[in-house]
Amino acid sequence: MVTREGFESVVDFAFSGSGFAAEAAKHAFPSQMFLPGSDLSAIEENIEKLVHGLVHWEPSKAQEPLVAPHPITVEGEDYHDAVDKLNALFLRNLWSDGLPIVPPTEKRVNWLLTGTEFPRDKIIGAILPRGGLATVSTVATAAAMAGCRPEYMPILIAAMQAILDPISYHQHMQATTGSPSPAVIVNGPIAKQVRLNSGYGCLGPNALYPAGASIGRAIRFLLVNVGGAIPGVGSMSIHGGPARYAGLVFAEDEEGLPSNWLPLNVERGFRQGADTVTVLPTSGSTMIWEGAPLNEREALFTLFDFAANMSVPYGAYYAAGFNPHGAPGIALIGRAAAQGFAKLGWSQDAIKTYLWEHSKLPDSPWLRKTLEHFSRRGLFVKDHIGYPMPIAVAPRNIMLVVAGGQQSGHSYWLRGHGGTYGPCTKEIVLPSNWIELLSKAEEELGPIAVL
Amino acid sequence: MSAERRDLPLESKVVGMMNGFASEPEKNGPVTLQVKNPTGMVSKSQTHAKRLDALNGKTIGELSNGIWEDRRTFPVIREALRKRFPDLRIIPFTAFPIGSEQIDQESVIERLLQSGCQAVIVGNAA
Repeated sequence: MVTREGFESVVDFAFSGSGFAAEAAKHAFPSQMFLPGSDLSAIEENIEKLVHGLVHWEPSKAQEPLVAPHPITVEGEDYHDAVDKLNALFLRNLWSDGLPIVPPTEKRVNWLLTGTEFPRDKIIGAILPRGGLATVSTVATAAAMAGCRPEYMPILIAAMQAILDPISYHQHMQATTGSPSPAVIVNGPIAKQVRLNSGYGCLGPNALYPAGASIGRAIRFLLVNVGGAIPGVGSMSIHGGPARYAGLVFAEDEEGLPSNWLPLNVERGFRQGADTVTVLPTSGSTMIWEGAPLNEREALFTLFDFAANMSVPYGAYYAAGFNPHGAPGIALIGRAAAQGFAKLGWSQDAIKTYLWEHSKLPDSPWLRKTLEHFSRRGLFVKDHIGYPMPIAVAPRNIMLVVAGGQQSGHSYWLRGHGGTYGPCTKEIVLPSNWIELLSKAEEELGPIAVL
Repeated sequence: MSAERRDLPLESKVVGMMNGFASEPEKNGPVTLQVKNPTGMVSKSQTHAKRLDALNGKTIGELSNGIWEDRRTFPVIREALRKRFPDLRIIPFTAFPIGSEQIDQESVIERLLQSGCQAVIVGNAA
């Protein structure tokens, strides 16, 4: 492996994810050697090291078929001291996110496992690059750390199934220098039942609808602790992004959908009323100032504003948006805006078509050069390029979701991250004690708020 | 619009949450806290390929992710190796698919083997 300084651990993790010990025959050159016009003399000076990797290198780590992690024990003067020490240990081990974690005791993990009937040792998948196995028990451990409740487990498990589905190509999201985080959109009655936000502040914290924050945090714990996406070690994300703290887990506002509009999961082939999660890695978010289609003029102004924000020379569009299964991003509009559009005769398809047409990138020498570069990497076929260049293969690739506060005013664009194959939707499996779990939640958290 | 507020007194609400949801009961005196390891099992079933015994007379393939000046770096590596091992055959990366996702395929391994490659240099810079 020819790599650059600072990326050695990424290479080692890549081998780990393929079932090898976390090491590889490699040589790391200075990063500046890989820049245009650079001095390449370091290659000749270090050629013997490459020869060593081909002829003499031996792995130093022993071969073990299955490495099971040991439980962690801390001693404290009292409970609070023990929890403080545990948090410090988790930070030292790079298992935390800088915020306090809830101790994942056997008792707490067992409590969370009441939220699923999948066997605790069921393997959901290997999380790359490290290749750690996400079992139901491991998922419950992350859920414990994040402060989840048992009734969140069905959503969390389905979200991990979607993230680990081959169509998500999660290994790119994990290791890339970009800043993707999985957006998790929930449909179905489960959203309201578990207090997952589809309304005001749905992308941020809300004590009335706390499920999203801890589910999102649990996902990040799994991606880092099991999958190895440690910043600067397994994940080379240059900026990370604020969504990596508590994720982007929210529900579609199905009650707010116009009567002739379909929920996202029904658009994607699931039955009306099904509990599902849809996951798409996103690496940017932009508030759209407009979102108040009270008349046709304002509707067009809203869509113009939206399209203008979508129409930027963003590498991910051409890197993966031209994949027929890909999505350039998720357009969020509140229920008042959705109903305003519908009253004016705008269908979901008509909105997507308008956005697709008006977000095309104009022809320019810069754009042609960039696309030439991506073509050479085989990321899309040059013959498919037309100018002005659309940001996706077709209008249908744009995801349009109704979510947010009930009044009209603003909208939101969650830009998809390139390198993935596309959004993935999974059906949520509920345990037979579901009603009992919800009753217990109501007992402890009070009735579900209605705003 | 209005909000239906929970009308439980604050104290009883907190107690209820503690029992079912929040911290372990407070204990005085030393505490041993045992928790699950969050890292999960890892399967290590693969062994690295044996190294070549020499380079002269062998065939090496190149695979590239297509970025970071691969068109400059790989030829220099090739030239440096050929200078030292005149009988080493190197199949350039341009003979194979290019790109991170493109080279991460079983079919690429097949092509390497069919081309007679006995080792591979993979790049570039990532």
